[in-house]
Amino acid sequence: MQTIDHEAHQTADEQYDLLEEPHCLGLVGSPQGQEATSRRFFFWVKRDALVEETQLVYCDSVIANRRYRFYGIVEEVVRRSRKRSMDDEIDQADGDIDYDPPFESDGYTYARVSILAVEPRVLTPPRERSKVYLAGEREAAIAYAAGEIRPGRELPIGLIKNGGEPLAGAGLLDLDYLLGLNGGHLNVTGSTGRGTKSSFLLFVVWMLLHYCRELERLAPSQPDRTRVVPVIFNVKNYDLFFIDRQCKHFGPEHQADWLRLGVSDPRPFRNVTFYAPASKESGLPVYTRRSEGVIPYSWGLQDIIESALFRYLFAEEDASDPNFGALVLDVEAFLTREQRRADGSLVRTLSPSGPQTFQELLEWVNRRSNKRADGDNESEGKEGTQLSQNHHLQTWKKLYRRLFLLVSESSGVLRRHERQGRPLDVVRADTSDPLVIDLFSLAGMPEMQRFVVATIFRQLVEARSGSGVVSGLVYIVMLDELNRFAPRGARDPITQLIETVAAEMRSQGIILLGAQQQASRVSEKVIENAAIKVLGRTGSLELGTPVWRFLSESARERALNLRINEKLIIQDAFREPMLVRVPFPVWAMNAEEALSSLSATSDGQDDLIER
Amino acid sequence: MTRIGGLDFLKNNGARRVRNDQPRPWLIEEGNEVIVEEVREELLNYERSREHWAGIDVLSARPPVDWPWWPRRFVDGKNVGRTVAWLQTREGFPVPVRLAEIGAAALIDQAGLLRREYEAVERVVSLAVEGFPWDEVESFAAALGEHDLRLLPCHPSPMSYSFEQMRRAVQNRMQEEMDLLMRRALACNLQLPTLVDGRLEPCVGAFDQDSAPIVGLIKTHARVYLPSRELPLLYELEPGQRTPAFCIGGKLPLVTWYLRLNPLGSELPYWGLVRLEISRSFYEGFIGGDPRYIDYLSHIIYSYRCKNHSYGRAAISIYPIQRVEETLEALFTPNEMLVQRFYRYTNI
Repeated sequence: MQTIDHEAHQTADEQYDLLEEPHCLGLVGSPQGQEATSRRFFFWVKRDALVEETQLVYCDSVIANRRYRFYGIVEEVVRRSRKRSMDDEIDQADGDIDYDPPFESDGYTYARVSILAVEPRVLTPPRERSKVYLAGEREAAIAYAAGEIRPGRELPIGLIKNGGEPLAGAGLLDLDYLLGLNGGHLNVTGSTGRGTKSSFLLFVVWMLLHYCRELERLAPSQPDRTRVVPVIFNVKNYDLFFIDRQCKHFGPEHQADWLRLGVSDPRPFRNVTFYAPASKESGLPVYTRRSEGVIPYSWGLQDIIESALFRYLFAEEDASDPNFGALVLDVEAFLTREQRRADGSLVRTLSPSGPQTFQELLEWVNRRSNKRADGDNESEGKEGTQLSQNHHLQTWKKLYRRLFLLVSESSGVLRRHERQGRPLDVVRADTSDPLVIDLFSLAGMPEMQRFVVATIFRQLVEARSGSGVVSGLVYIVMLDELNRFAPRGARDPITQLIETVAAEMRSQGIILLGAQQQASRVSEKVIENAAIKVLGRTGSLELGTPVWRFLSESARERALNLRINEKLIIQDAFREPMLVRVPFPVWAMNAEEALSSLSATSDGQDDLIER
Repeated sequence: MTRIGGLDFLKNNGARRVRNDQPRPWLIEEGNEVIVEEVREELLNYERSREHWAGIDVLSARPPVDWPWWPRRFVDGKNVGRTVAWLQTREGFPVPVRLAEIGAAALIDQAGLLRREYEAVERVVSLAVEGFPWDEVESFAAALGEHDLRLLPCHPSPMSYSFEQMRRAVQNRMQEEMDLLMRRALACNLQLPTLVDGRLEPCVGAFDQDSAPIVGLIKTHARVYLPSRELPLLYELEPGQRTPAFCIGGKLPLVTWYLRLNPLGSELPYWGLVRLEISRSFYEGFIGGDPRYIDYLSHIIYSYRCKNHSYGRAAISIYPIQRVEETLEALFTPNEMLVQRFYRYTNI
């Protein structure tokens, strides 16, 4: 489906494969200690040839009367003089750095190559003295299993690096791995402040939207064509509230990389819907540095009950307390009335016999916590829902304290005196432009942040599990700081929900684009279930954890030294991670980058002024 | 055409394997220093009279950059092999069979970079063939050829059935063949001043002794040419000093001198000393007997001295020759592998 006109955008000095003849780099050597195996081989570099780490190479060997082509990536380049020790090096010059020896050094260069693919498939090493050539786009595609992707299911994910600067065409992801058929989810790990995570995830979202729009254009009536609905959580500084603005640093020099990926006219995201928490008093969205187009979100008690979200209001340590957890479930059941529709589905409503607002609920719980259990009329709802008499008064008091704190601190997100708020509704029927939901405003209330995330996931789970499931529709949920929402070892309902999404919901069309600084601090289930893992520049401490044990040593070393726009893509079909350069984002990654300027308004607040 | 014997020649003649007798590399000059007549007085007085013999310092004799006799080519040979079997003539005399790899190479100095200009490597088998039918030997040689092995028939003179003499004879036969390869290496470019590792006499015929600027470098000293009176001078030479030049030679008249490359350490007295030789007619004719030529050449050789102390022969070698040796070593096949392959071919 995706047509990528690689050659049209290549420059001769960057792309070796424009050369008429293959560019021979050297010959395979397999002396003792550097034997070739089915996983790696060594080659010595011919004079005047430049070999760099991360270059893609190939060689042909005839083995048992059959010709095989080995594709590999240069893991390490070694230069060796003829001297057998540093003593000899020093002795040659007698310790004099100005000494000019009569002969030039007869040193040589050799490289270690990790084998990425062999055609036809065979698990054997190449033969010594096989000529090693620099790979071009065609070979790079084979090396990274592009041929195994079903036609039309390729998603360009960046430009494959072929050494320091040269490129080897588009790196392709298999959408069957990303969107659920063979696997799902994508997870990024990288140090903070390096543009490592959010910008890359947004790039993936952009490319997915581009892909779906093209499908829509080419086959609008195809019933099960892939559709995506990106749901993006903003967790830092309202940065993602400007992704519909042009980045002021984007210039013509950045255009070429997009062109190489088949995108001739990259633009910022369009028609983005921005959601921010409602403010306490007015119900308007909190201030996000955007002057327009932000929709407030909030929940009244009725919304909470109807969406079965009550249990998600409480923190992990409370939810894991069996007494408290039982009381919460009991209260939720007491407040809920369930009715079965004609189609068999259940509808939940707020029981009219109980509290109707959070304020009323607080008062009710307060009364319960100060009463003796016997002779309690409020224990039974109109429909006969019975509250258990076994809850201890202290548990009630605890519930009251937690609710009070939550309702008081949650500003306007939980509407205290109103039955209904403006709940987030992210359910769509077709490809949608991104929905950006702010969590940053709730930074001081981790419970509320987790509640909002849980609410979205629950909504998506229901949308994808019910009878009205739209064929081909995939919800793409982008969430940074996964370590906060699904920390390793946690057993709270929100972590469990995210784990359920990661483990079971990919086939039903909920795909998690997650990110964190340290994968080692995120639920194993979430990390393990990500079919595609991405590494940006990452610290050695993190890379030393068991999560990354499967990586080769050279890949780990590479991850330590990645540049801002470089990523290592890890997919099941790749024998070694694919190193790609990600195009410079055309959209603003924060307010300062947006093609707009900030100025102080008369009321002293910052606002955006269009240029 | 029916082959008579072929590779079974050895087996048919009762050949038996010989265990590994610790082969060691044969460098061109090793053990081949021809014992000559003691140098006559007048030949010793060639550069200076004996009364004025003293160490000559060449450190300060730096040649001009455009000096035309700067050695630009470096030639060396290698002969690695061992006696792998012995067989018996019809009369019952034991005959040794030697298998070896021989080769020669030349490196050329291209603006300070040493590049291979010539290389030749051959796998050879040699034995004294006098006691065997001609057609069987021919058949054996042809069959060996199919496996890239060349038979070097040896005709010891005088013919002897002493096993040790025959063993030495086949060694010499191979050495002659290696000398031939070296002569080819030398002859392929006579325009450039060339340094040969070893004596020049085996290379006679490969170059014009009147005009070709060829220098021989001898690293091991099977014989010292100086009378005992001059020996203390030899031992007392400081690094960068040489003896006065003197003349030697039989069919190739030579001018020669000793040069110390490295100080005498805890080694044998000759350690660190090399001997250089040039054609006398070239020196006298082309150079006009100018001793500056010898000084300059000595200075250059000294500056080329090998400084890799991890290289076993560093004290008596120069870097370009070390590189030729390494080149040849890389071109050679491990000897025991060849031996085992030979046993398989010949079924012994």
